[in-house]
Amino acid sequence: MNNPNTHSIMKLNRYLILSLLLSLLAVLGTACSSVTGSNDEQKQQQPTEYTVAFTAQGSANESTDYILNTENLMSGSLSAEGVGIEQTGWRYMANHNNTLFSIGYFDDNNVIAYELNEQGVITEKGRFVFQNTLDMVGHANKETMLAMEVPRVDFADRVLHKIDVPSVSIREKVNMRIWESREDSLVAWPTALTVRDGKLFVPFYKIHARGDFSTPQTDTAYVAVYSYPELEFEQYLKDIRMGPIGVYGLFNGMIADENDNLYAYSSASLANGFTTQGKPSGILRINNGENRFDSNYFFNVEEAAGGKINFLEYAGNGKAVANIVTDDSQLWGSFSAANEIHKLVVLDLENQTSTEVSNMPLHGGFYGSPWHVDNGTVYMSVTTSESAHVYKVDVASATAVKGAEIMGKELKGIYNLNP
Amino acid sequence: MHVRNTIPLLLILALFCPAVPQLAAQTAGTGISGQVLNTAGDPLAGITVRLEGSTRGAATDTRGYFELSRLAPGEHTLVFSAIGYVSEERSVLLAPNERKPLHLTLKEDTLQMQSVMVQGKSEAKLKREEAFSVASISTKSLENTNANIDDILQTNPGIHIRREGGLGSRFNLSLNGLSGRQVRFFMDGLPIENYGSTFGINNIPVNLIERVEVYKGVVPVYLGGDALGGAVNLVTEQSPRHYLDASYAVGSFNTHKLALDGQYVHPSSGFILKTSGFYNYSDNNYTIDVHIPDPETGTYGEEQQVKRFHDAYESRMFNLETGFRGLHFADEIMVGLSLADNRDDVQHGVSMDRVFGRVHTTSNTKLGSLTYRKELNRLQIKAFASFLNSHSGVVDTSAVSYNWLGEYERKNNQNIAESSWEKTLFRYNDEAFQSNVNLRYQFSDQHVAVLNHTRSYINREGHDPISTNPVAFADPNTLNKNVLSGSYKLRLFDDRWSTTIFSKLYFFNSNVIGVDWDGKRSEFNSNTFKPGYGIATTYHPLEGLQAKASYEKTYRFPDGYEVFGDGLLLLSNPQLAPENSNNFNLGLQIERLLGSHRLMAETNYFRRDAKDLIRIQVTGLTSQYINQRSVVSSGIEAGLRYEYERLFFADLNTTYQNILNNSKYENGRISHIYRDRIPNIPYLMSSQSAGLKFDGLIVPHDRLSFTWSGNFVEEYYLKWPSLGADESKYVIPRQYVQHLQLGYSLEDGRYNINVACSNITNAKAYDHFRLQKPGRAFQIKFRYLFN
Repeated sequence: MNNPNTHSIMKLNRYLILSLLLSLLAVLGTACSSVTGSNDEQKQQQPTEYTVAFTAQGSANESTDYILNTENLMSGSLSAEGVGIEQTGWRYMANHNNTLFSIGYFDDNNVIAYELNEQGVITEKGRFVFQNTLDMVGHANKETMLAMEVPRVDFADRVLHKIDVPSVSIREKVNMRIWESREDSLVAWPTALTVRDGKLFVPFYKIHARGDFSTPQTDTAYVAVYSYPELEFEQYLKDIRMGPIGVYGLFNGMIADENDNLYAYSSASLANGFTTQGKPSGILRINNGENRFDSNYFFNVEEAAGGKINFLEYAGNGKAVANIVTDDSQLWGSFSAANEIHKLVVLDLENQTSTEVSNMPLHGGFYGSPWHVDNGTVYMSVTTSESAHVYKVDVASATAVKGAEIMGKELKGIYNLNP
Repeated sequence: MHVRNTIPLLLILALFCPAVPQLAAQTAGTGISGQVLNTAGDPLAGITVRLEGSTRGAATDTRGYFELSRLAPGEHTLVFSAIGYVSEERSVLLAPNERKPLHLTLKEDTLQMQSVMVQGKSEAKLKREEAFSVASISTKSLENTNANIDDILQTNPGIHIRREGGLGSRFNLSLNGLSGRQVRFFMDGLPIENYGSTFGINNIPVNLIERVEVYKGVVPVYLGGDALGGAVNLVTEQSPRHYLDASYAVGSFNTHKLALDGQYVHPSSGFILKTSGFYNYSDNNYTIDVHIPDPETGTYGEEQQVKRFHDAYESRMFNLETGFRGLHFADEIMVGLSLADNRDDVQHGVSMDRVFGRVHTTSNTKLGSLTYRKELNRLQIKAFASFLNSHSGVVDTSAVSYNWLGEYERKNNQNIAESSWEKTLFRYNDEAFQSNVNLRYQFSDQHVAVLNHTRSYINREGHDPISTNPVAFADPNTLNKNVLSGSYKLRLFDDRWSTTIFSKLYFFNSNVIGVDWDGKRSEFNSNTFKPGYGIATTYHPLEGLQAKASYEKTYRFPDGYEVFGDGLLLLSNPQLAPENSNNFNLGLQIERLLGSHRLMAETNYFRRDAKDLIRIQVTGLTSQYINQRSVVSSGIEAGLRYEYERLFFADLNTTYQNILNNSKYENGRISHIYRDRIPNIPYLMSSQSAGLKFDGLIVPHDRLSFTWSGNFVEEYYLKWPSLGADESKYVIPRQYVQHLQLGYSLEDGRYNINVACSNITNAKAYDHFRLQKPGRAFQIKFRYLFN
């Protein structure tokens, strides 16, 4: 055998070469990692008009939401390419007092809040963890956002969270039941959290306690009324002129006008997840200062617009904008972005008339409360089977203008976070 | 001659290895032993010694010694051969209980080139010379180490394994960009996809396995299955002799691993009794860094270090096989029985923000098997059948919410369980039948045909005693796969060129009854037939240089798991179609021996053009497998190995893969992420190792070995790379984890001790987003080997 000393020398050399190779690799690695660097920081520096929650395409584990600013909703395209604050999983988005809350779901059980800093750059304001889900959000006052954990199965507590907006944390958790019937095996699913004059209004619909979201009883509209902030139960408001109020996954079961009159809509459509439908889709009103449905007011939207309501947003001057279901044949059909089964109408709440918005294609649905109302116009993300665009709707004339193309699945929301 | 080297090593040994009594080899009976030298008088290692007229044989060890024992009295002819040497024959007459020495010198074959390999070809090496793109890894040199099979695979080019945590945690093996169930696992050529998690490569100790063959993209027909991206075949110990291999390892995190593998052979009757088994346990209570949220406000606290507290894992397997070899109607006929089970505490959900303290899963498998082998002149027959019964369950019955300090509070809601929406004791029962018949016909030295039929049938039934809802598989679901495949191999030009063409016919049949959220039952039947085909060709222009090319049109049918779901978080999808892919490999390998230096290099280019890929789609809490994506994966892998005699080796393997989204449309709309890199999959990996071995260091027949290894993975994005501001993007950070091993053996490897330190730098490493892997850990392993 050879001299062992030469062994070690050669061994050393080999080792050196190996180390060199490794370093080379590391350098290569660093070079490769600087992919798609964004030089769009200037874009964020510019004064901004709108902040959008942009949902990318792809399956849930690849795609996600990006929160980004744009000055222009109406031309060119909106893309998250190289811009936007990345989110982790599927999120609900909610704007509260110029703070945008990005709310995770079940396994991704945290909330991250964003605001614009003085330069107009989106910055994280805070974050907190919740236990299971936050399924429904609402507005209590400037400092307080409401959010409710709603179990999917069995007779179980609903947990109302009072979220402190300035500190982005949970201030208080209150267990409540809303409504249940063991005899009929039914529990309540809330569809709005609305505070007015020291009262919390919680409209709800009845789902089967076995957790399949079937709705055997849809002949009555219900609202549970609590004192606020004490949250003592006061009464149920009931009305049999229409079915249950609100829709799963949408925050707008009840909306308020400038005079604090509350309008509650009933969809009770198959496409919106109701397995039985008994009453026409329409709108009831709770007048300012009253704690009962206005017995003289029922707007039969189904008759006026030729379809059931999917989603409703108040647009000012006694007008609301609504998605109307044109094809009610598929259960949960309204929740797919590309399922073109909705038309858009302007509803005159006072005169109880419906005007179809012109230049607006049939389009798919969404979650949460994504439309942005700004002084007689409504901006919305409209997804068809072919593309997604921002549309600007002029409420007075009931006409829409096609704006920027969305280079993604949809916008989960359009917001103006400027203080 | 090693005296100068020994002193510091002796010190190290004194630290780690108390004196082991020196025991003499006791091999009774009739036999032949001896030594083979070259013309210069140096011992020749790896020379094949074949006993003519039988399948028995041996190879010379590093000092040129060989031994053939338990021979029948009478005349025996031994054939000594190796590439680069002129073969020699010797006849020996043995009296009962006589042991004859036999020493001989082999001459170099001057007709062959100078750079020939001075080594007999091991089975692993023969595999590597096939036309297929294959990594064949002999575990011989690793059996003293603490490694599981996954650790060993990790060090090979093109193979990457991602783990969620410690021992027993879920793993995902990726082979040239295809991963998960796209890569099929086999044991001794038989698919083990239904065998349950205890038979996973993260459980099976290296001591039960002789070698691992990894076929990349193109899979020979004898592995009868529907592998989209390749196959991993674990080959168990194939020795014809008695042997016993027992080992015990103990290490950090209260980890214990026991492995046993043994065989008894009764020479005159051919009776065989084989047994193997293992036991793995770990608390997996390694330290991680977390932010613990305030239970009231939900806001995160400062980062702190905590120990995982509900992550214990335990698995057991016992296998007994018995039968006969050398009967007139069967070269081998065996029946076997395996029992396996495991229990896994679940520490957290998809993210580490959801901490669990009580959820656990269990599984157990009972497996019966029958093996038959017979060679009739030119025809080789192999048949195998197995029946298994397995139970898997989830126990999630507590409405509590834990934090990382192990403290818990009652849930806001007493109806929501820890990990699931509803308290569950869901269990499912699988019954599976599997059979395989392989016929190989050798027309001549140049022409070989193989015909293979593999069938697998699985029936799943589920129940949940505490669920108030309908449960999945309350009605049995069945899945039936048949693969009929044939190949033809032709070797020409003095074996320099070899080509195999093959075809695989897939017959898939499923019957699923699904129960969805609204309790609606739907029954779905499917019958699908798909033909696959391929070609593999190789050419040796020079000795030591080999070029390979292979192609296969592959299919993978959904597993029961994907069609049926797991009944907990995974929904069923009876409409799932098979995935398909066009796989192409082009490779070059070189092996040069220059005096005492040996250099081996290989490089492969691969391309996988896959369509209808089955992907998991997550919706809130539930998920479902769907046909969704087309992906093109291409890349290059390179491996380099240098050896200096038997003293030193160094290895460097690097893989670069570019996996692109090839779906032009997303839900009917033009995709904006077309040709973007598929997120959450690593694209640049490298592994390195280097080691030293000293033989006969302190006492004759001992060995000291020292090995360093490192594993590098470049940072990669969690989400689409093109989207989002760079500074806000979530990444799985770059990792570089290094390990050290020190081993000492006595009596040619009969007594072994090995000390290992993994993750020596205590690097914070992640294979999955925010799921931290174990830090520095120590292990010591004792092994006794008799053969």
